[in-house]
Amino acid sequence: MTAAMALEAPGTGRPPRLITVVVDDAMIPLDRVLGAVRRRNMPLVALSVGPGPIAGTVRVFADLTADEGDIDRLVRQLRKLVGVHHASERSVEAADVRQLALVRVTPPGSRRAALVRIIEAHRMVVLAEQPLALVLEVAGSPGQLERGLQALAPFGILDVARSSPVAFEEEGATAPAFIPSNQQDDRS
Amino acid sequence: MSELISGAQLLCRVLLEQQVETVFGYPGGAIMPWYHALTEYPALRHVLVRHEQAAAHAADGYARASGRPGVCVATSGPGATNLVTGLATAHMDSSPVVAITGQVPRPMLGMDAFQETDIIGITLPITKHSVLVQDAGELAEKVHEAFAIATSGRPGPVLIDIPKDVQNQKIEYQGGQGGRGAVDASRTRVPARESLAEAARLISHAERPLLMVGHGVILADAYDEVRMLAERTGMPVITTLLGISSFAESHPLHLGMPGMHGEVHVNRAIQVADVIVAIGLRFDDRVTGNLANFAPRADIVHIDLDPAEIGKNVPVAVGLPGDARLVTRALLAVVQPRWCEGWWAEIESFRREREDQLRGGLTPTGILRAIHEQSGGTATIVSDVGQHQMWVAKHYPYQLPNSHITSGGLGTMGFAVPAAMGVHLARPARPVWAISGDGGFQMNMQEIATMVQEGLPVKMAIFNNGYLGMVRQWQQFFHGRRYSATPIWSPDYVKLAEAYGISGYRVEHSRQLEEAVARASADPGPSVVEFLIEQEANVFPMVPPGGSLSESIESSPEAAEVA
Repeated sequence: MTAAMALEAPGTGRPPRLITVVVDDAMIPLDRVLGAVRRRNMPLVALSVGPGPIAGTVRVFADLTADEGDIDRLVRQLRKLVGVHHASERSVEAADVRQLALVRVTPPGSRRAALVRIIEAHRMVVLAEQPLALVLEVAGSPGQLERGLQALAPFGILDVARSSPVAFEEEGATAPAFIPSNQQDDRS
Repeated sequence: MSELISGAQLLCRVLLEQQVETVFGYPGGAIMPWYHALTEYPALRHVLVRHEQAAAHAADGYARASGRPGVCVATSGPGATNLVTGLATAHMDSSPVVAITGQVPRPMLGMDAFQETDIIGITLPITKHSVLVQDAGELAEKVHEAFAIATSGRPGPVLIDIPKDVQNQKIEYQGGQGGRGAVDASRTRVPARESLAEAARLISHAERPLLMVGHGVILADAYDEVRMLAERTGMPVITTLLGISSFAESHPLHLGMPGMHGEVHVNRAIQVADVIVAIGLRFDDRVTGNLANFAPRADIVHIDLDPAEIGKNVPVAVGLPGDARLVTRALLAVVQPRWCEGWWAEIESFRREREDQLRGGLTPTGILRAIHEQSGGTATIVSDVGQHQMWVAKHYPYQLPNSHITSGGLGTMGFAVPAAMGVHLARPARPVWAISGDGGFQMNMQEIATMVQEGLPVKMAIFNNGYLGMVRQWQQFFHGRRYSATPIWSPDYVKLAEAYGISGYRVEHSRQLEEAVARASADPGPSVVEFLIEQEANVFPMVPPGGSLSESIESSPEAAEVA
């Protein structure tokens, strides 16, 4: 695999897209966001929820594989939902997208030196050395992550815990969601 | 000055602040505190339906006819789940319904308590917004917000779920907080000048332009703007199912309804058009047929309040997001006057004449003409779903704005009778006819009791052919005439009407038609008229499912084989 090799979602031949949604920090709006994805039956590769850019919001990251048109329609639908402040999409290959994986590999035994070279080359971090496994942290762009995992594969990967890719939305892109006038008066 | 009141009393006051006059509902355990308070607020008229589904449809009919939110109320559990079909209907057709449901007390939430359902979870995909009120202190704000959301932007249903103990909770009431409505930026947005100029240029240069108008025109009250645009350009006007009555059918520029049961000349016009100006419609699959072959030569100019609809189903040359009235007005200001004589002549050559299918001289066209004439053209027609819905859409000569109401997106059988109750209460001075098939009528005919108790003079027409007619037609055309589960028995509707204490009429022959319609119309209360129509009459033309608009079926398979 080369650095220029594009990521593809398994079995689709399409590069995954990263959807970013900033939504009110409440279960009902969050449920609506997930429902919008679910009803379109789009293959969901990864999903994560974390603190949002403004108080009372969360950021949702969804790594999806679907046609560009389907993704575009989904984003436009998400923008309509009550409680959604921002929705956008980008390629997971964009320069500012990052992802993290924790990898359990078989202890290297006599191949320890080779494994150390890979750990250094891919800037991995050794988190724990257990009797039956070595726990590594791999972070970077989704492409870097893939390459790191491929490099580790010959040593025997036992398990991978992988986050969704994350990225900031465009600067200044997050607007207040729907605000009834009786509340808006209080803000002015 | 403040006073201590219950959450239930507060809810009544907030409804009054929202100028709610009528509420459709059905009491039960978890909503009893609100019903207890209701008697103290006589300005809120409560209509006791016979099934909660009817409450939701009636609120929907009220909203569509009045342009204001329709309100329905139900208890928790089965009461709430019975609202589901009505909420889905309102959601698909962008109708501002506010549904209020009682819920089990807060400490019992999630305990599988008696009549507990997660109604918010159940209705998430079919509502625009949902609220669980967790404290009486937030009730007023949440309810005002719900009304604002239901009516702002693209309207839609909102559900407010209120636990019983919140309804009983005491709260200091500080006086009216006002239902000042939403900041609705979407309604004031005007597209960029360049986009409007490009749309005007396309219209000016087109040889075969069309104007297609949908429900958005009715919602935006854009009748005059659409008519002026048509008259300035000479563009033939096509009205979608939910756009019917947004443009007078007697107007010389009116062409008809498109899509699966659209007339051949309308669909052919779409297929050869080079520009289509679409206002307030979403290019539903029943309108477009096979998308890959829809309007293959046309540049589409799409005006819609909902930006997500622009380009969703068909590619557009120019997207003009915004309120139909405002954007059409802006387009009018830049469009050049023109006419389309050659194009009209071409469309005329597409027209087909078709004979009605008779039984006792009764035709759908004749029945509809009689109803129209009897009401002097003032009636609002609320149709159900099926063959009669298509006949009503194609043959009733609508003249008045927003005089045709039907379940378009969801296609809900059983809609017409309860929705017509809401329409009457929204516009009591105008006659209302609920037109159903014998299948759909039997789904909600229990609401005759509501009409009698509440004195609602809705006129109910039943097109009785002894079949679930549209399904039967599909079985005839596409399933080798295997009429599986479509023959349907009916009670004696005249006796049924008598049992409810109202007048019932049966029309078996055209010579009985005018008198029956006249007598039903003259009855001071509700009445039922059953029309025994040809059993295997079909709706023609028909674009087969998945077919393109160029592939109309114009006769039944048997007739085609004989020919």
